[in-house]
Amino acid sequence: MTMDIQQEQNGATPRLRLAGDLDIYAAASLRERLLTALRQNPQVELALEEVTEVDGAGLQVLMAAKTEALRLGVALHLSGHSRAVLNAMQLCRLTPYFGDPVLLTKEMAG
Amino acid sequence: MISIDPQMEAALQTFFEESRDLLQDMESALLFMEESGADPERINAVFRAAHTIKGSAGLFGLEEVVRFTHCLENLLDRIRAGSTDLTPSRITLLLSCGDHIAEYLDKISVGAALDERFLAEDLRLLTALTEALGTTLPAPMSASVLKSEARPGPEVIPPGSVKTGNWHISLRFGVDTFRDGMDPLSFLRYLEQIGEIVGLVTLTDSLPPLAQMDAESCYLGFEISFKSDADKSQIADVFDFVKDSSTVHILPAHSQIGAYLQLIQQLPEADQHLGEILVSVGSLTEEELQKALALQDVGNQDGQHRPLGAILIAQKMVQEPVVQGALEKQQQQREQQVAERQMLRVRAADLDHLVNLVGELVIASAANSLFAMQDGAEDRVESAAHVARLVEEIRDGALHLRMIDVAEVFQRFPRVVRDMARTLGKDIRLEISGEGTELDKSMAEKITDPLMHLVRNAMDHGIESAERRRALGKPVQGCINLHACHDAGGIIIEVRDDGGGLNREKILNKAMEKGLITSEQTLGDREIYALIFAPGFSTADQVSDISGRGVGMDVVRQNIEAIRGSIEIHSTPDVGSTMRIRLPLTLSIIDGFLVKLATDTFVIPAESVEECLEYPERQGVPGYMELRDQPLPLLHLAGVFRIDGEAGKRRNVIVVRHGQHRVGMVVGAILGNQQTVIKPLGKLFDQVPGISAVTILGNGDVAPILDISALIHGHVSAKHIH
Repeated sequence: MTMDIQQEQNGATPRLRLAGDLDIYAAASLRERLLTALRQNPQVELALEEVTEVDGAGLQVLMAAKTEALRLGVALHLSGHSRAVLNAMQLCRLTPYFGDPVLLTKEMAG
Repeated sequence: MISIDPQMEAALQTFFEESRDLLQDMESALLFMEESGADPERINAVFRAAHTIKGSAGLFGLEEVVRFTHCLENLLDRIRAGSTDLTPSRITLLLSCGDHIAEYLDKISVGAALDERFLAEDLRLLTALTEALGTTLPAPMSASVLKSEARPGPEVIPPGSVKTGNWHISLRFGVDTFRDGMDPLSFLRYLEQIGEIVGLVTLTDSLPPLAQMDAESCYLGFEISFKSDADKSQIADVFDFVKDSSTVHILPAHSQIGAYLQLIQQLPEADQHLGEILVSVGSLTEEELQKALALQDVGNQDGQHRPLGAILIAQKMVQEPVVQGALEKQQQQREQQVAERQMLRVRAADLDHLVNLVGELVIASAANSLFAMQDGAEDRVESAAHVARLVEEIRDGALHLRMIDVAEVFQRFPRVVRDMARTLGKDIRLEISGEGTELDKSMAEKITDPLMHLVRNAMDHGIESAERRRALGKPVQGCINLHACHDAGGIIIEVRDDGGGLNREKILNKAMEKGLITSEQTLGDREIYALIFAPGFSTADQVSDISGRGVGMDVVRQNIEAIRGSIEIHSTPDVGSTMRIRLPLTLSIIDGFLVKLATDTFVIPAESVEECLEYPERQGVPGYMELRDQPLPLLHLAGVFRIDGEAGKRRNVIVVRHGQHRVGMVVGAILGNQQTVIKPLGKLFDQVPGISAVTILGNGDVAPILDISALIHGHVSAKHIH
């Protein structure tokens, strides 16, 4: 499923809602969107509820965005991690890297 | 499923075809070993097949296939290493796994969903594979104990090595990893299947700032502490498909500290930083890191740079089997490349087109020769003859391209016989002979189903139960024989069994019951046997799953006749039956023997011509002539086709043979051999008796091709009635 990026407003914070596969096919456009969003706002939220699939290319864009946000002093928050996002982050032990609260389902925690 | 561009689609098709070939090889090797015991070469072949399929499936992102094949490969690897025996039940499991992969590929190639039944089978096989892997460790009082003794018992950690019993894996994925269709995360997932990732650090060092990064390049690297019973080559195999483009270092458990130092020095990141990462994944303790860095300082003071190889060997870091494995792998790849260069895959449609064109060329060349002859200019005749000869070679070459070894048709049968023998609860072996006989590819495709049916029939109805065989003094194991050979310009394929033979009485009764014959008719054995080809005819007392529904034998005959073939049955009670299928060599071009009847030209397929004689105007018995003290029935073609012949003109006899029947055909002038392109008759004429097709001669005339089989049998049976 190709990625769809919707921008919505959560109070003063722009929220990018990602839906579909966060993979090599989506990586380039996601990078553009994130770059623009990070340069224009003091804080950005990434909603990940509807992410169905994550590969290395998708993950490394998120990592680069986090680094970029730290550099620019922008608060980048990832929220609503879907199972696919959690799996990928856990596999790479990256949950602390992003530092966002994640909600583990029972089976994943076990 | 990812969307696929046309080029990828073509590659995918090739993958499907090659995988099917590989699965076929795998099956043959397994069946052979079931029969004759395990041998390393075949185990290797099976392993290679699974490994190649896994690798290619990975390139296409067919993760389900990769996942399944990976488990299969694990078991095969154990078998290859000798730590697991290849028992009959494991062969059955491996065969089922092969089938399952084939089904995966079939489903993927048509885009079908994986249904519940399929997933249940998937689960069943995976469970069985895991069990096979798990149950190998405790095997008291068997040969495997001896093998396991070779391994070190309680672990003795040599001095100078690190404490951890885990592997350390350093991965720096190549920049083109994503573009090559691979995902670093899936490699981590495979690793989790063969062991446990105890510690892992994702490296962010080479990740450029968001503004500069190319989202399709890969910047990922990992340091992993990995706990597993797998050996180094198994772990290295996980990264087989990225080993050329990426940096992969694998350090065994309890490596020398020096080995870690080497690793730290080789990797691009700053030494201290990387060292800390190694500590944080748990591969090195803080103490060990300090020691390593101290060692490095000493090395630097020496001012010497020892070559890597020397260090590796000195420190025994590279295990010998690993080197051996790497060498074997290189050798395999080289062999595979050579094999690829020797074979070329061509689309069947292109080949058909070529053969059609060659057919037209043959006609054109015949016309050319004819005109040259009429002109009488010597050099023109000579060059036309030269062209004709070349065309003939091209024709043979083109037809040969379509020929495949009958072994390719037969190769499916060992499995069919094996599985069906189990279903039936009979002990039956299959013998195959006559490999090397070639037949047209399109014919090979069309003969497989009828053959399958005949084999099934023979196993189900032909071979008797073990008790009956014992009572008759026959060997308990039944035998099915598939045989092929060339005969009189055609191909013969036989299905023989050493079973009970056809039951004459039963067939007769059944035929009367069905109203196929009346009780007054007296029939010869062969005619009675031929009754089983009648539609809806089945003598089986019980309808089984395998055969006996009465559909089939008539379809078998139809299918065979559709490719201009014929089938006959020979049977002896309690000794067995033989189903003999006779097929033409090719479907499109034949060598024709041209004869004249009055003013018309007819073509006799040269393959059935035995000899030509002068017609003896004085005969003893009318309708017969004497040929080397044997009576030869004569067939006056002019009479058959109602052509007013000019009596008194010199006539000839062409002796033709079909099967065991021989007839002398009385014709006018003999024109000789010519290449003949078969043009099928239209619907209007295809019922004309005695003519199978037509051809176009060089001068543009249409000439009928005689249907020798119909003419002989019409003639022979007519004689019988008289």
